[in-house]
This record gives sequence, C-alpha cells and structure tokens, in this order.
Amino acid sequence: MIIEKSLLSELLGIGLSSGADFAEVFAENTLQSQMSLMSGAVEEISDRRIYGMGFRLLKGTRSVFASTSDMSRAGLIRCARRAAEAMGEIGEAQTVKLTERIFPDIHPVRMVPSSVSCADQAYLLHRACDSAKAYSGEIAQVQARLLNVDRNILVANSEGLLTGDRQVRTRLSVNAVASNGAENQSGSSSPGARKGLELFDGITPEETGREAARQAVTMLHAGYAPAGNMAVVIDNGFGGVIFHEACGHSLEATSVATGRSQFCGKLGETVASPIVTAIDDGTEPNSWGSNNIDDEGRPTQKLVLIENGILKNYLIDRLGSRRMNMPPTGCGRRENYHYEPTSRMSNTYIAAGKDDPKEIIGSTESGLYAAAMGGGSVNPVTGEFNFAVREAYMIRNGEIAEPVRGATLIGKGSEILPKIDRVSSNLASAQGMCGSKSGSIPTNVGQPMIRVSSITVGGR
Amino acid sequence: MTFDAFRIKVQETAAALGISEYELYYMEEDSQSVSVMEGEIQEFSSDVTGGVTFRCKTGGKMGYCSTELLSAEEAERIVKAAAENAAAIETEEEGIIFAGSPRYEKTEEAAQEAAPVGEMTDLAMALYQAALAEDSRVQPSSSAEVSQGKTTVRLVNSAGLDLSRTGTLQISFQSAIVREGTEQYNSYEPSEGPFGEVDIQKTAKTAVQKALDQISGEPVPSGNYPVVFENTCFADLLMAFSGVFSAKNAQQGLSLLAGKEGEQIAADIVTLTDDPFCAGHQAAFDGEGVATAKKNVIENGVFKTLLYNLQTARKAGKETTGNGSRASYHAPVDIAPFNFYLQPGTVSAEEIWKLATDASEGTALLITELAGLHAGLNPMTGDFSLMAGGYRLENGQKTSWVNGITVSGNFYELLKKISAVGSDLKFGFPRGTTRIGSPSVYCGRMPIAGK
Repeated sequence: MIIEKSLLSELLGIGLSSGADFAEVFAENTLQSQMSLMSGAVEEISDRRIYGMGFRLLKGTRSVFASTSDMSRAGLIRCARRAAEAMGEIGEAQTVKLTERIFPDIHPVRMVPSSVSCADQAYLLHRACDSAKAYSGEIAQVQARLLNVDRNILVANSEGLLTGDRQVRTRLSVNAVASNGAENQSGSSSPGARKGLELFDGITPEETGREAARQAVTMLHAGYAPAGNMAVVIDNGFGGVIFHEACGHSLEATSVATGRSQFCGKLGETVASPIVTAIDDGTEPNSWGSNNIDDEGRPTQKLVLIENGILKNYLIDRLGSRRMNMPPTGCGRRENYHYEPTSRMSNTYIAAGKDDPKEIIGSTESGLYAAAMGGGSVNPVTGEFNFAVREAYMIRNGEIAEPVRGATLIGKGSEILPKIDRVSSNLASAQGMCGSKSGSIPTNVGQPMIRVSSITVGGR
Repeated sequence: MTFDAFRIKVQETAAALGISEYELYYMEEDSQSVSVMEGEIQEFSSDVTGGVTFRCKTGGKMGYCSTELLSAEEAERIVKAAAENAAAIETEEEGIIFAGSPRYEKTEEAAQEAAPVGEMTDLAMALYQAALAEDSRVQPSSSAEVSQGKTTVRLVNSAGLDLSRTGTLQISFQSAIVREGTEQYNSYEPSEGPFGEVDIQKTAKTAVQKALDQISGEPVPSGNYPVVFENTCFADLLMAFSGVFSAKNAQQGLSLLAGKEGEQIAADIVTLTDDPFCAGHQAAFDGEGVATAKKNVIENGVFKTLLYNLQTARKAGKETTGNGSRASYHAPVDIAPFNFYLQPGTVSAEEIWKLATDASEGTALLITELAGLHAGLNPMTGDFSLMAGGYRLENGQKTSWVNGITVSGNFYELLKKISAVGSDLKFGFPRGTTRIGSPSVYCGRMPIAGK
C-alpha cells in the first residue's frame, strides 16, 4: 500500500477536524516511460516515476485541495494540515474507519511493458519506421514513439472507502514526414489501449507506420481546402472528435454545474438530430479511456448522454454532484496527484446508425470529405468549437475527388448537432489525449461515418 | 530525504557502477491558487512538490531517469535505470555533460515574496465583485482566480558545476460571463505581476467590456480582408511556431529555416529578439548549465541564427546560443527561447487600425482571439487555419464583433507580409522558462472563411 492504512485514517481525521464534511486521499505511484526513434535510430528514452498525494476537503460546494511529493509521514501530515487550515480552524482530530474494497478488474493485462526488454521495445519502433519508409520514396523523416504507463492509485475517503487500481496503458505514435524537396507534409497514426504490449497482437507496428506515411504522401500532393460553408462528411474513428469538442465538454459538470454550458437545464430536451445517440463508456474492456474505478474511487459506468437526439445525462464528478444535486457518474479523473479531480470523458462516441457509408458520399453533391481528423478545442460557455482536418478530399457529384490540405472545421455545438443528417453503421474509435482543468488524460473518441449538412470550413 | 542527501546517495551509486559523467537536475515548486465563483471562495489549492532527473553518459550515450521519490533505494534505482536506458540509445551522437561557462550574468533576486493566502483571497474577491458591479448582465458564474508560485531549479553535475536559481510568479485571471437573452458570452483578462499592483477596476472593466462586445457578433462573408493581429494574438501565433527556430527541428528536417541563416526571411521592420534578462523573468543559465545570452534571431528581416543547445551546436560546428531547455524537471533537454519577442515599432495600435482600413475599400479585421493553436497549424510548412474572433475595423475604428470565422495563412509568408509593427509590446504568460511577446501587427490581406 502506498500509504499505511492507519496513517490514511489519521490524515482523513485531520481533514475532518477543520469542519469539512468530506475528506479524501488520492495517492499515486506511476511509472511512465517513453522511447523515441528518429532518423532510424532510438534517440531518447525517458523514464519517470510520479509519486505523491493529492488531499481534498469538501464543505458543501467549497473545495480545498493540497498536494505533495513528500511522502514521509511528516510530509503527508503537513500537507493534510495545510488543507485543513485553509478550510477552517483545526479542531479535535476525528476518527475515520476504513474498510478496504476491491472492485472487479475488467481490463486484464498480459504483458506489462516494464517486464519487456528495451531491445524488444526498440524493435517495435524499427518495424513501424521501416514500414513507413518503405511506403514511398517521398518519406523523408519518421518519428516513432512507444509510451508505457503503469499507474497505481489508492483512494481513501472519510466515507470509509479504501480502494485502489493498477492501470496499464500502451501507445505507439508514428509521425511520418513526406517531402518533395521544397515542402513537407506530415501524417500520423497513434493506436493505444489500456493494455500491455499485447496491444500488438491486434495492431501491427507496420500498419501504423504505413498509415502515417500514406496520409503524409496524400497531403503532399494536395492543394489547399477552399473556405466557406459546405456539407461535410466526417469518417469514423477519430472523426468522433467532433462530438467530443462540439458537445462532450459542454456536458461535463465542470461546465454545467457552474452555469457555463450551453446545455445547462436542457435535460429531456431535443439537442441533436433524432438519428444521434451518444454514449460515454468507461467500462469498455481494455479501451484507451477505460478504468475500473475513477480517480474518486467510484466504478466507471456506461452512460447514455444523448438518446435519439434527446439529452439524457451529464458527466458528473463528486463536487459537481454537490453543486448540481444529482448523483455522480464515476467520471472524476485527473492527470496525476497534482490535480483535483473533475468530471471528464472516457470513451465517448456517437452510436452506430443505419446509413450506408457509400450512400452518404453518393448522395452528397458537393462538399468536403474529412477522412482523418486532428485535434480541436471548445469554449463550453458559447459552444464555439474548432478542429483541424488532417486528411480531406473534395466531394463532387457524389464522388470523392482530389485531396485538400489545411482545412479547419468550426461551429457551435448546439447548432451543429441538429444538422447531423446521416449516421452510418461503421462505428470505430481512436485514441487521443484530452486536456482540461484536471490535466491531460487518455480518452477515446469514436463514431461511424456521419454527415453534417452545413459547417464552416476554414481554408483559403 | 532532502535533495542533498539524495544527491550523495546518487553519487555513491554512480561511483560504485563506474559511471563518471552524470548530472542531476532538480526542481522544487511551491504554489497556491484561490478561485472565487458565485460570490464565494469555491476552490483553494496548494502544491508542494519536487522532482529530479538523473542523466548519465555511458558508452558515449546519454540515458535519463526521473523521479519524485527521494529515497536511498530510489537513488540506486534511477542510476541503474538511466545506465540501462543509455545502453539502448542507437544514435551516433555523443551526449555532453557540460563543465561550465567562463562567467554567468548576475540576475535579480527572486522578485516577489510569497503573499499571504488572505491577500490572494481578498484580491480574487475584489476582482469578482468589481466585474459583477460593472454591468447587470454579468453572471454570478463569472470567476476570478489568483495564484502564485515559486520555482527553484538546481543543476549539479560530475564536472563540478553546481548552479541554482529561484523564480516567482504572481498571476490573476478575471473571467467574465455575460448573458443577453438566452445566449452567454465570456472573456478572460489575465494579469501578471505583484498582486498589489493589479488595477482591479481596470481589469474587471476590460474583461466585462470584452464579453459585452461579443453580443450580436456574427461572421463576415468569406473573402480576403486586411488583417491586424492584436499584440497578444500575434504572441500566441509566435508561440505556436516558435519551434521553427529550433536547430534540433532544423537538423531533423522539420523546419524550413534550415540553412537559411543570413537570408532575408521577413520584412525589414521585423526584429525578433530572445532576451534571458527581462526584468522579472531572468535566467543566467539554460537547461544544460550554459550561460545564457541576449540575441536577435531575426534582425531587420535578416535571419541571424537558429536557437542551439550543446548537441545541435556541435553538430552544426557552432557555439551553443544557450537555449538548452527543460520544460519541466522530467523533460529531456530540448531547445526553447526565454523572453522571445517581436521588437515594437513607433506607431500606436490605433494608427495601425487606420492603416488597415485605409488599405481597404470597406472592412478590415482586428483579430483579438485565436483558438485551436495546438491543432490547426502545421509547424513544418508554416500553414495555419485557425478559428478566430475580433472586431470589424471601419474608418480606423473598432466597430462590431466578428465571430465564427477562420483566418488562414502561412507563418513564413506572414513574416514577409508584416507592413506595420505597433508600439504596444505585450508578453503572454510564461510556459516553463519561455515567455513570448509581441506588439500589434498589420499583415495585409489574408483569407477569411465566414458566412
């Protein structure tokens, strides 16, 4: 155990003595390593242990949070006292009785990365790099990275809960650069999972390298995307970032509980086209954004956010639950112990619909086909979002035409969701890192191919 | 254990393993933050942490290992792990443990004493209340956040170098949310510097006005418009493209500035400076222990130098510019500028607006907000397409708010197109040791996607 049970009780007792009605310890011992290959050679290996405690007190809707990397008994007590003093006057120590609880592990891991040699891991990177280079003579540079995370957490709180989880994640990222001498374009592919190195039983490094190279070469031969409003067909997988930005963040208690979301007070109302059903599912076995428990010690859930266009649920963490008077949904997450947890997405996707992808393209007279998406961001207050398209093509007369680069899609969540007029059946997900108040965390985005009848495309 | 006790344990382990070249980079942070919402102190946080990276050279290669756990066993573990990591490195280049520069500039003492929490709470509350008093449309969901931090860095290596520095930072952040009908609009007004010097009324007024201005904003029709970037916006763009000045990126074929030293790459009026000695943000040594220096990266449009660390300088047969950087205690050595800014000109921002509207028959645009800077641009080609917001400029004046547009262009072309630089130099918040500043700039016509 990262912190002894008796000391945990003592820390929580110090917290409650300040008049707080809830106290929580989150302790973490994480090993994170990243191997990078550049120009065909392993260039850098970084290896990091994240080790410390985040201590939180709540009183009504007020929160006090303190963190420390000093895990000595004295350091932990100092941290707890610092929080208690900020909450109120420290009174008589309270007694907290903890009962350990073990939640079922729904994300088994077969090959813990730290138990595999550096040489074997380097071989994976070389395979990805060689395959990217073999794709085309125009590939000028390949960067490949293998990320391993082995996160051990402990959560104890004044309600008597004592639990923990071990979260192993693996991700391969390949970034390929295509060049014709005068200019460069890049392509990327970054599969990952809440798994060990058995990730590569399902996905080969070769496929990943090839996909990155294909995208880079395609974009090298593309002209600029036009600017203006048009119909946009967004393909499956990382295309789901549109829902993540346009809607997902605005459904987090972080925005809703503080009156900062365009979706405040809209439960039960129609917010999207009736063919749209959207789900956040932290229980998907071994998915990149999955966990057994959230960082507040609650089991993760499968939560329907929007059903047939009607808003059904918000993503609610413990503090959000107090502010909103609604039950929490097992989504309190944080990058590490330095951050206070808050409501976050896990694996979020638009559910499969009935349309045929071929018919969607065929029925689009003119517009943009966004085959692969990049990152984006949103202002939850106004709902204004933007994201980059990594690989795009024009659609002319119902057919995919020439590739175009540099397209950005922008809009307002509440205006875009009703404009989704096609949802196909080919649901797929892809991995991303999501940044918000509690840091950068792994999340999956997903969707089948969809069409938005009109959206602003930034080009030139 | 303390860092010094840990350091001794590391030295002993390294000696026992026959590792003679190594370095410890230690960083300790102490920060506090207070936020007010709905008229109450809703959140308080306090972080006291330290972390260390050990790196060593074995067989000519550099291996790294970082930790936040300072114990005797961990000291042994990180030395062994770093040596193992070094053995797996396949590049030809030798790592460098630096013996020290002949001299280091003297820097100012840590600028600010930590403020008591009460002072932070009072300031946050005052900012919040001032914003609410500003206009009846300001919502209680508006907030004010006040934070401070102190960072100590220590670099100790086997070549006898032992350097340290302490930096402090006090920032406040006013966020205003206004409601008109069923729509909400928000804005931020950050300020940096001692809490006692924050102009509460002005900060609140600016934040609220920026939010009110957005009411009934709409896109302009798509087309090419004369564009002025407000100072903070152009600084954001410079930040996003700052990697193109890194010699590492240039050597790896990821920057188009490779081999361009001595060439005209920007308009004559463009001088881009990196100064490690701006008041309040000083660093006498970089992430490798090299003495820092002020230099112009672009001077009157001519590209003078890439930014180098020891490794890239050796490869290029040059001297390092002292820009070895470590974004955090656990980040490997990279390259970054310190206070990196476009030198201001002599004309005011308002005069620049006038230049832009004089150049057009109708509307010019003043861009005050850019979003998606982490995704909507390609540092390799310089291309960008970004969601933007700002004002219509007519007859040299700001008129209505414009949102729902994107501005597209190419960073390298933009540098050449800058035809006026304002006198209103402003710096953004520091990220690690990097802080980027710019005045307002006029860039001629640029493609805008709107309605």
